[in-house]
Amino acid sequence: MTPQVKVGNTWLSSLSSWGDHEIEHRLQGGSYEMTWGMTTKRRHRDLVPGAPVSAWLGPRPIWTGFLREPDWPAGEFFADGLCRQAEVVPCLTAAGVTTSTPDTAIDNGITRGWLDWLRASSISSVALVEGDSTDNLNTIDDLLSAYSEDQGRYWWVDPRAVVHNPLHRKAMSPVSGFWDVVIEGDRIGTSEEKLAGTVVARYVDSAAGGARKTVVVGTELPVEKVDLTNRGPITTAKATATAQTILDNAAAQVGLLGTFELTRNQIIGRPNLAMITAGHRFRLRGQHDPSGVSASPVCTADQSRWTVAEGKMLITPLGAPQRDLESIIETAGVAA
Amino acid sequence: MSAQLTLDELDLLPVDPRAALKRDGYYFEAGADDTTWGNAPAIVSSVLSEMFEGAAVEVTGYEGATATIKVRIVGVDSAAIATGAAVLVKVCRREAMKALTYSPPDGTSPPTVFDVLVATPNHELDEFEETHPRRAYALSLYLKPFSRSAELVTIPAVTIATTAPTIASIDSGSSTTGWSTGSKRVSRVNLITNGNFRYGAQGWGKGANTDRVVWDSAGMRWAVEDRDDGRSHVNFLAPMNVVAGAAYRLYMQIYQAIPTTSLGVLIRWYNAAGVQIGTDASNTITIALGADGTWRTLSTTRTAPSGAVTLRFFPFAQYSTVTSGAAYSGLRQVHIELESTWTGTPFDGDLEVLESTTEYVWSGAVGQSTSLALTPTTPSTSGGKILVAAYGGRPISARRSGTIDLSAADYLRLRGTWSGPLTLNVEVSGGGFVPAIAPQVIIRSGSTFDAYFQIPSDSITAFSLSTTAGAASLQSATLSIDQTDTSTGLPLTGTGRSGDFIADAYGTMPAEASIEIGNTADLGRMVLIFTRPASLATVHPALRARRIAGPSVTAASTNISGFSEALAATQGAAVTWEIDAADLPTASYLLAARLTATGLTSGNGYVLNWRSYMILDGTTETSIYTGSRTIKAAATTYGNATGQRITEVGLLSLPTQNVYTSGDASAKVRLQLWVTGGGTWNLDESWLFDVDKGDLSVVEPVSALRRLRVTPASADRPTQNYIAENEVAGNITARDVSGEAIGWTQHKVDPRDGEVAIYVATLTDTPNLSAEVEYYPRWDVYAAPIEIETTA
Repeated sequence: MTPQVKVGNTWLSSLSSWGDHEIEHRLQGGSYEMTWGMTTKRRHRDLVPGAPVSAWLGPRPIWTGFLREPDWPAGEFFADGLCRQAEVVPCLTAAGVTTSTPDTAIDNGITRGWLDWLRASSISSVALVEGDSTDNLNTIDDLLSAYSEDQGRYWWVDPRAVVHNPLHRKAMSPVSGFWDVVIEGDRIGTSEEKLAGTVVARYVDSAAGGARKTVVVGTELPVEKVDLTNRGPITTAKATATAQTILDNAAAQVGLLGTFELTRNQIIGRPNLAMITAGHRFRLRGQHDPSGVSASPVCTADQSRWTVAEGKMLITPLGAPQRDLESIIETAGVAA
Repeated sequence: MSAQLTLDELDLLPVDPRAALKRDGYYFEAGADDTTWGNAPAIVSSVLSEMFEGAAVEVTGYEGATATIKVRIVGVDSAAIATGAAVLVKVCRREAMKALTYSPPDGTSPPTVFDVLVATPNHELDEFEETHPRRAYALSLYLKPFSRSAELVTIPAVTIATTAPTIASIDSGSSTTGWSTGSKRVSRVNLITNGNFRYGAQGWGKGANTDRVVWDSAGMRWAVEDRDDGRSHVNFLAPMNVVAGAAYRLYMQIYQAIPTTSLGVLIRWYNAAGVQIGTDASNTITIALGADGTWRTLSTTRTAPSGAVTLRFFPFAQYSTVTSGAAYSGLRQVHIELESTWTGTPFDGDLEVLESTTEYVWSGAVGQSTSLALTPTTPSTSGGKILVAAYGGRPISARRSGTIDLSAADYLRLRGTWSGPLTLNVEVSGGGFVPAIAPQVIIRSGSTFDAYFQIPSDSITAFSLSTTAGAASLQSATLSIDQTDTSTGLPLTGTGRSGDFIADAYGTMPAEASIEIGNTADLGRMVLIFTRPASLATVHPALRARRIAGPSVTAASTNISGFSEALAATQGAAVTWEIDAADLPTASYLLAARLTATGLTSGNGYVLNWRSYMILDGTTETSIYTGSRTIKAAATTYGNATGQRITEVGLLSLPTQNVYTSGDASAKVRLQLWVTGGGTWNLDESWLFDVDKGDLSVVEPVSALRRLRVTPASADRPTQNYIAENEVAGNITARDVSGEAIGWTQHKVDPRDGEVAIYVATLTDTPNLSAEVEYYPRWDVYAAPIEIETTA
């Protein structure tokens, strides 16, 4: 059984020949991008930008999002994942005031028709900054990324449009949490450069009546400064915790640099690739652990891209793309 | 006769070229030189293996093939060949798929058809040909991967087991006639493995005030150290496992040579951390003094305190004056066991175990342990059931003598209440004993089970049913047998809402198939079709018959499975299914269920949790994997008449651990399902669909239909569709229900496996459910003759 794609209420297989199907998931957000090719020039009523798109394995949805402008001459179709609605939706309360409370911001986005999400449980009803409102008009993507970074969690919108914030995503992964994979041939490159040894964070102190203060974490070189003032008034403890998170990610670390490609034969248990998405953890048999601790390093997939017809999945491990300080700081939802 | 080749209606190898020339002024002539049918290249997924030399290779699909046909147009003049070329090129440019048909020269083999997706005519310039009335083309034909037979094969799928087995009552359980307690009726374990000292004092140690330990036929004896006042003791070295809260019977005979203040026994209870519970003083049992030199008996019970996991045992004697160490205290017939509701007399635990006898079964060390001989209780009847009582946690069985004729029935069905796994031993006339039989299917209804045993004999003279009676902490447990019947087959686990079919697969290569499901009345608002190679049909997708535990089950005649049960709110109480690992091919499976719910709060989240694990040794859960699906309630009810007729729960990779079928025949895969978040949830049927090799379609038609046809992309139409047909007063109407499909797939027939198995489930009673498979058998190149076997 291979995945089928539905656009609006129409299954592609009932329209025309189609193929070259690729499905991409991201750790933060879930369904990210999907592409396919079709030779038809038939302008079906459902094949219009903004139409809801989903991929299914039998009656189980495995990806959901909405169609971008099709490239008709090339017969190429692109769809953006549902999580990407968060990139443009501002964090507002029903009264139109900025907010840093995830539940409030998401609910307001849904009520205003900006987000086609479902919230079945609380993500967090606690404001990320003291006093709830922020100076900047942040997007839901900024807020959820900052919140996730704060809590050590991921956020994602499942293929049924329900938003979650698990510690790590689990599908058919063990309680202890990883797929055992045997990587072909080459070793994956590693890096251990140090991006920051000390982080100096400037923030607005909620206890000091809005005065700007500074916290310093770490003792080593190089020293990097970070601006947390766009978070609005926060406590010293929260500013310290955020600075520490940035330092943890940017401090001397070893990480996998490259991507790796999997077929189901390389995964113990031969799971259907529809079962695997970004957010899952992999134990890489036959790879050297860059930190030298374990014979089989474990990594978390930051991105997964499944080329369906070839039966291959490209995994980008977490740690690989965030190799510059700017992107680390950005992930924390603040400015450098 | 010569070979024949046609492209649609164009005859490329006319039998009589002269007639064609006379009629049209030209004719076509295909040549074998430079002509090729093309081969569909396999898409090979290859990985350099880390496990052995070379690559691990798998064929994941096939690309299309490209054929090249050399065609020469021969005509009377250039006008005629131009006309002929125009006809050829127009046929090539047809949008609809074209058929290239080849018939071998001797005519014994059927024609082979290649499906031509696109054909491009490529004119080939040749000086000779340009100066003669002929013209050459090399047609490039882009083909579907494999050729096919010219004739469509239509096979009405054969129904499997749509008739319920015939059940004949043998014994209604109202009388104890013929019944006795079986071979494993009574057995008890002495926690002291050497309580009789017949061959020595193994396992026993002595305390600090004890000089030495000796033994003789009278038992074990110990002498005190040469000192004042003191308690001299021996002790059984191994800690004994106990169940907290359960009562334990202590029995021993103790002897003291010299007058003292007291003698008795100290019991120490320990918790899981190995820490003693209570004080020695509170756990000392003394025995009243009698005349010296006589044996005194201690028989008492003690309850294991809360938290206790082990006990240790210290019999002692106390001395008031300095002694020489020559006088011995003694001990014999030591017995500690979980207290039972029966009393008995001690004996040496040296008895032979015979399946055929009703003797006691002893599991202690021969000649070294004391046991208590129990008076057997005979079976009784109550409420039309045979009742047999036994000791908790120990084997229990019931035996029934009397000839049962099984010449017309394959199965013995026992209806009753019990706990633990069942085995059946049967006796045949003059043939001794057949090895123990495990039940093939157990159907639970409330607290009652129906167990079906396949009996490999036409007649049996007696049988005994054995199981384990309740938890080890129970003082008594009951095996109750309500009905003894014969059955002509296994039970139908579903109602008329589901059906199993099988159809032959012809050809050599996978073929796209059209599947039609029909009924003489409305099929209802959900039709589920699952096809898979028959070789994978060892595991039926429906799980109802595999249920082994969970909330109580009630009969529900309008459900697919015929039963209904609440979904538990905790994992501990969750519905549990069990499948032999040997029956479950390693694959990815979709767990789905038909669920309804009431009492929900609209907008709240409800989480369906699943858990899969394996049992390798009969008890320990291992290789545990879990997952969940969150449902946001859109109303106060779920899944009734308004959609969500089938709920997918999760994708599972099973078995969760590799097993070798030869060595792990007892390995079981278990699945559990429960819901958190509240509400009242109700489960009908659950399914496990192989998503690797199986194909699952689910359609929720919005209006009545009598037939549902899944059509593959065909020669005329490169799309797949779900077509529903209804019939009202003889008028047949058809409509496209593709948009009403909630699970879409392409159904295949793969001849590699010989047959294709089809499972169908609907929501309305469909007593005349039928299935039909229609396809062109596909071949690598040349079609072979097919003899369709028709089943009466």
